Amino acid sequence: MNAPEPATPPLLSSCGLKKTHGQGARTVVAVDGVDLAVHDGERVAVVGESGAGKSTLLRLLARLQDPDEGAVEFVGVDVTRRASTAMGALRRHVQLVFPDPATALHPLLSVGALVEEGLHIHGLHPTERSARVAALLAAVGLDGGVVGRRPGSLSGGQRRRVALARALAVEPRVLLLDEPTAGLDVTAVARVVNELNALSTTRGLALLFVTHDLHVVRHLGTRALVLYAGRVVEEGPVEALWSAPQHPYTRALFAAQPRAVGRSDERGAPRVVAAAPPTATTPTTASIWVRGCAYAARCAEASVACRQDEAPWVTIGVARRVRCHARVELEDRRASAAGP
Amino acid sequence: MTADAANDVGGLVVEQLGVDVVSGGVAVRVVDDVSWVVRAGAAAAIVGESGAGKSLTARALVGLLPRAARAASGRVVVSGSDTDVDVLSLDEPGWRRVRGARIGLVMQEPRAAFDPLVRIDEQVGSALRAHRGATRAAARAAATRALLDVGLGARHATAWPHELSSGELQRAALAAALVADPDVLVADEPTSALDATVAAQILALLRRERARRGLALVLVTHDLSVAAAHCDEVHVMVAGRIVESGPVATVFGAPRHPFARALLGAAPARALPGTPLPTLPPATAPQAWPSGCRFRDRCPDVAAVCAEEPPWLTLGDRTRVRCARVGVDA
Repeated sequence: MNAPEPATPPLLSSCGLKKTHGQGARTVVAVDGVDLAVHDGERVAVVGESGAGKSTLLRLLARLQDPDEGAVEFVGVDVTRRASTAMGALRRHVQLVFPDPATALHPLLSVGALVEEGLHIHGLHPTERSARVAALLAAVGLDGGVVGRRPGSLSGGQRRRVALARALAVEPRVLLLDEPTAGLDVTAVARVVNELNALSTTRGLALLFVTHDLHVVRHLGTRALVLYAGRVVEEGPVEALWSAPQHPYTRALFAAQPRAVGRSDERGAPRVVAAAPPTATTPTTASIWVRGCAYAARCAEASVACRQDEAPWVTIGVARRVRCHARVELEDRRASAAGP
Repeated sequence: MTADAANDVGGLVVEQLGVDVVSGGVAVRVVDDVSWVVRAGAAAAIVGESGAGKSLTARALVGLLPRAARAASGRVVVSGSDTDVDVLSLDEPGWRRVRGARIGLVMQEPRAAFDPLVRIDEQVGSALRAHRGATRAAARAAATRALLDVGLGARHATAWPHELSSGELQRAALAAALVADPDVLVADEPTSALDATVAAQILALLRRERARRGLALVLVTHDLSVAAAHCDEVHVMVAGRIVESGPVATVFGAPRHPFARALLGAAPARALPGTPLPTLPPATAPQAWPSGCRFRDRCPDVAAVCAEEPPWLTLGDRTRVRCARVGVDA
């Protein structure tokens, strides 16, 4: 190449991704122009409430659903239009683990058979396959004794690990995880978080995960995107978001999380986000949020500008940006104060 | 602690509750010697891992144990608005008079709590028709008021369950549990199926209704931060038994039982990011629970003495710990 060497393309990325559900007055924009990139070994969290479009975003990235607009790229190759070879690479290297393994695992297959399915593409000898199954189960912290059992006889935490072992069988480069710790008790959450961290560190596996639990974000994520009504409103390194959230919605989301187990100085009722997110009885139609900031209706700091135009991205420091008019005005004031 | 302790103000007294599950013709004691008192207006958290017996305990309190399980010993006394009732002595007709009227239940999955073919107000008001002999119209009117109390409008009252979000349905479930003004409310993982923001709203609502009505609240949760923020006392369960009880500030601030310490140590909210979270070996099935201390097969601090029944140790500040090793120098 004559041109300067371009930076390594991200493993998985999206550009202007958009998806609407429903029709007419009940149309909901689930994902509304999402740009994101996941690099080798990165652990990216997607946070937001139910209905923010988190799960739809994962399905679009796994190419289980077609976007209305925008593109998904795998290692720099557009896979949105089903270019066959690129699509094959995506199917092999990007694995989606569903939130409820009870419905994602075939109830009549044994755990061994479920995990082994993924190994067929490696063309291994049956004896090698059973050794690999045992190794995969061990990698996710499952006892070898579960091989002959069916999903129905396992606990929720065990099923989740089976789904994870199954996804790992094809040796993917990216794992998309929908609520990997939802419904698990504290000690099981700790085991799953540790396993995912170890897989990412030892195999360079990239993770993109959706979660409600901001503490899990802190322990598992290196970077986080905050999704509201299908749009990314803030993104950046997890610790920066945790210690100084910039967008009013991020602040509300973090304030709603009870933080303090056993620290008497922080005890007390968590603060509550004003008003409810959109639901079927209060459909937030495309026409409502086609203009302005989607959060303006719930935001205590909303100004006229917030209801009229979407704020431009404001970049803060390294790899951190927020989309909020209040922040734009702050930058303007700083610029004029520092002016000539 | 005795039943009299709660009689003056009302509330719930649980004494040596035992629940057996019959599996393959053999009865296994899966909830054993569980005792506590929740006074009117107070809240107690039951915390522990999956399979520790938290939900079976909660179900025993409301007489809704699964078919294979039965309350095998103990007393569960509800007191307050009417004569004291030992609910474990009730037969099914007896339960129908008490459930909803004296003791209410809110479950984890609100969608499972509602009949999809009956409108919300009809279901929320059903306790009044059953217990107070209210007419259909009066019950629906009262249901609409109860829904208003939990932040839902007339629009929700006449809606079908599928038209409400999970958060709205959980509010409606709370309205249904409270419409006949019970003395005790048992909430089994009421927010674990909800978003953080919606969960915070439901918990704030529970807190307000508890204070307003003088409810005794039993909150079963695996979310320690919820227990810490919303309860006065906490009971830590492992393998069917309570191993540590006391005020949340004491138990969470300085847990004494090795399991309580491990449980709190594993909480992502407490640990510093960047290091592996401390974990425990997975819990075993009830058939494999050891004799003596039920935690000794997984305990990092196990000793020979743990093969015997561990004694209860009462510490200051109303904290009780069931461990032979507490207070023993390492």
